[in-house]
Amino acid sequence: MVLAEQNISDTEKLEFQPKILGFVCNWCSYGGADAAGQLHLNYPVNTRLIRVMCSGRVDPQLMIDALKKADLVFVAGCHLPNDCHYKTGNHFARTRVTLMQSTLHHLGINPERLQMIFISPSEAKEFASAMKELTEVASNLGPNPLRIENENEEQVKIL
Amino acid sequence: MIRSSYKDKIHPNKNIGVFVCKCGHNIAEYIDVQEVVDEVKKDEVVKIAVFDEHTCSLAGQQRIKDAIKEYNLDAVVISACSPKVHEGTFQKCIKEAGLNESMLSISNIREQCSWAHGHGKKTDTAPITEKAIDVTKMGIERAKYLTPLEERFTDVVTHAVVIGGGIAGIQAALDIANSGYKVTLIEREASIGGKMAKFNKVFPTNDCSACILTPKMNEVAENQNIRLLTLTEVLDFKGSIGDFTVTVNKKARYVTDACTFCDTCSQWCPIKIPNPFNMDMDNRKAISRVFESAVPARYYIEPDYCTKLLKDKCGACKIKCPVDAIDFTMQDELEDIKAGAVIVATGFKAYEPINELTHLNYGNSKNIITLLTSERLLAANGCSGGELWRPSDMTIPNSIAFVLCVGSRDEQVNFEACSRACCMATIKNASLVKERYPDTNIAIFYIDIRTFGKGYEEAYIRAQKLGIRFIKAKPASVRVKPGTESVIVEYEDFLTPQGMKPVRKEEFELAVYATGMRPADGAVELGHMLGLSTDKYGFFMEAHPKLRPVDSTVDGIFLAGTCQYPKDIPDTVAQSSGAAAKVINLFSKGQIKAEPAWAQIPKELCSGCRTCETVCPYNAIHMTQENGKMYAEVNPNLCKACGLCSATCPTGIINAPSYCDEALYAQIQLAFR
Repeated sequence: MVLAEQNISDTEKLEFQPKILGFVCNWCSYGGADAAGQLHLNYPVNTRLIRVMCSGRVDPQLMIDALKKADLVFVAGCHLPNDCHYKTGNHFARTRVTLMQSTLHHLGINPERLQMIFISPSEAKEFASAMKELTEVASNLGPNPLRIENENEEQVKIL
Repeated sequence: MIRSSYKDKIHPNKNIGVFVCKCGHNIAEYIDVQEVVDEVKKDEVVKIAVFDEHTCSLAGQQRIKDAIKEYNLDAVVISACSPKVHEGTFQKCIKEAGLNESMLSISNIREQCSWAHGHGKKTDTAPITEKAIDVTKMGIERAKYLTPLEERFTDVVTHAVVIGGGIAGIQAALDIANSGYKVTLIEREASIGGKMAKFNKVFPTNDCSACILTPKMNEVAENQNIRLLTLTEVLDFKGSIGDFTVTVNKKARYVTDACTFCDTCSQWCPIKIPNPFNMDMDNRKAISRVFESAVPARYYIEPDYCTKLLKDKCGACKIKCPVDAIDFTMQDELEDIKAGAVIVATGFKAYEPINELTHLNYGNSKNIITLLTSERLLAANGCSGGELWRPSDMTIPNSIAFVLCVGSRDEQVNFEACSRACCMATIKNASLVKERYPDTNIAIFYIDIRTFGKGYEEAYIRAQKLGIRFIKAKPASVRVKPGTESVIVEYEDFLTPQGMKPVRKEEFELAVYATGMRPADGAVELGHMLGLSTDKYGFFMEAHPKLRPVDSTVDGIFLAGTCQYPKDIPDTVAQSSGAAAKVINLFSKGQIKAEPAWAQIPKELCSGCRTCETVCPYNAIHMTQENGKMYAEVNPNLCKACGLCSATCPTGIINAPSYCDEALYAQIQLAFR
């Protein structure tokens, strides 16, 4: 089956609630997410975060697994080049996301569905803005064909 | 990496308890905890699911302990505030009930749910509750795959390193040394004392700064437990709490400790250079002392200026020295210092509006100076005999304008913070001058007057009674009056009475800018070396702004003084003693808990490709041979459980405990209903 991004109408875009799944590193970006909450900075409720110790923990297989469940997936790590708590993990995360974006492109999936962001523990505002921005990007992209296909397969299994 | 087996693996834990917290109304306001509990109960693996007002309270914790025993739980899920707040609390709680500490999964439904999505009475709470249910279920999935981890302990090296020899570093070093532990105090200048050694008097008592500082400096010199390294900088930094290695460069002083501080060398030295201690307002020689109460009490030679060191000419100081204390053969020396804890006390740098705030014309007149320069002029050991004179012609000014908040509370220069000490320092200096020369026209231009501390408001009232004019205005411009070195301040007085003109121009013979604090030069780079987080201004971040103000974001490294944020001397000394107490606490235990998780590589499955060995940031993986087969082995003392190897292994066999592939995959599956 050939996967391709479907163009959806503007009204559909307004009603569509995207699902955003993020892998956040324990030290920097999780701290930034907490800081955003401490300051009661609001961002859309569409996001779910999975805590990992380091953004370098996220291998490309997990990114694909996540893209079968969400419309947009992001990996959040400490700032380049020197902030990673484990020194080099964020570099690996950055490279893997870039390679996976290229792979998605070849699969016919919009590579914007996979993003890498960098947040430090003091960057509460930046985290909240990033969540808002990613939700908007996801809204404009419409439903993720990978997710839809996966959901259909699971329906078939149940039947 | 690609491992289909993890998707089908049966989870080991089958008796899970879920404890949801209302956190008063912090969570309950936007999340229906009853609904969360009802939903998660549907999973047959969940043997008990309840909610509490405050799960972290003693009653809440007792409920968890009772449930562990009653339902024979093998893992506990807490759905409450961030794990960064109470992970330790709940780990201790379940351990007391007989469960391994690592069998704990915490879901964040406060900082990352109710607090981030609730916005008052009009909030639609249904999606927030839905998210809380999803997040709790993810926590349950993670709990299903937790494995008990053995507790590990490492010895603590009971030797502290303090970086920075200002009042903050001095106080911390003294406190630790007086508790019986050894300290190495590292300072990059030739003498300790920092900024406080430059002040004339300190507010609000108007004590002479050097008089209260120098006894502490001398204590440092005499304390048997303190090793003082001056002209020393940190080059490299490794290790973790209890076992740091600080690599320092001890620069050559070229003067031995036979030096008696007699000043003969300096008098004979032909090289004059600007004296940074007096803000370059006067000169010193290539061989000199920082100031007359320097500790250590030894002269030093500036290698960039000394002709003997540069081109083997002169050497008069060595010839004339009565005790032969000068040694041109000294070399810089590297040393690795082992420490169990580090205190960072690198202080601040006074801001100077160079190429910024050009309307204030700093640098265009000798009579526009900073607050720190005014301190040096007023100081008894300065170059003006203690007079706040006009640097242009060394005359006593008839009028002085003090301008507050130059470079602070200012979006234009990306520094919205308040530098805390300038209001009081300015009031102190203005009052000193006004008491000495009552006819001087002194004006303080302010946005607000922040005299918050003990005795500060009283000093402000006294200053007003002395006749100092407090003008609520942020000057639109300070221009140099052509042909003179006086300034004209143009301002709009916010408190102008009705009927009078608010916009004024006034001439002053001297202008003093209360320029705020910035992190010291090299502090940000030092922070990178140590792994410290900084805020947007470059000040070091504390672990928690309210409850952990002296802990940095790295375990075992503590913060003291203005490097963490602008503050005055009483707050600095208090914070230093606090940091010292933390270090003493750590040392008194002798041991600390090491990271219990470490990467597991089953040797029978390892193909020996060495990819993990290449990526490990801590060199914790090495290849070993057994029965002719090569496989990867992890050193648990070096492994930090980051999971990089686990993600990189092409066969996907490396297990990162608590964050294993199975747990992450299961969390992804349940992320959205």
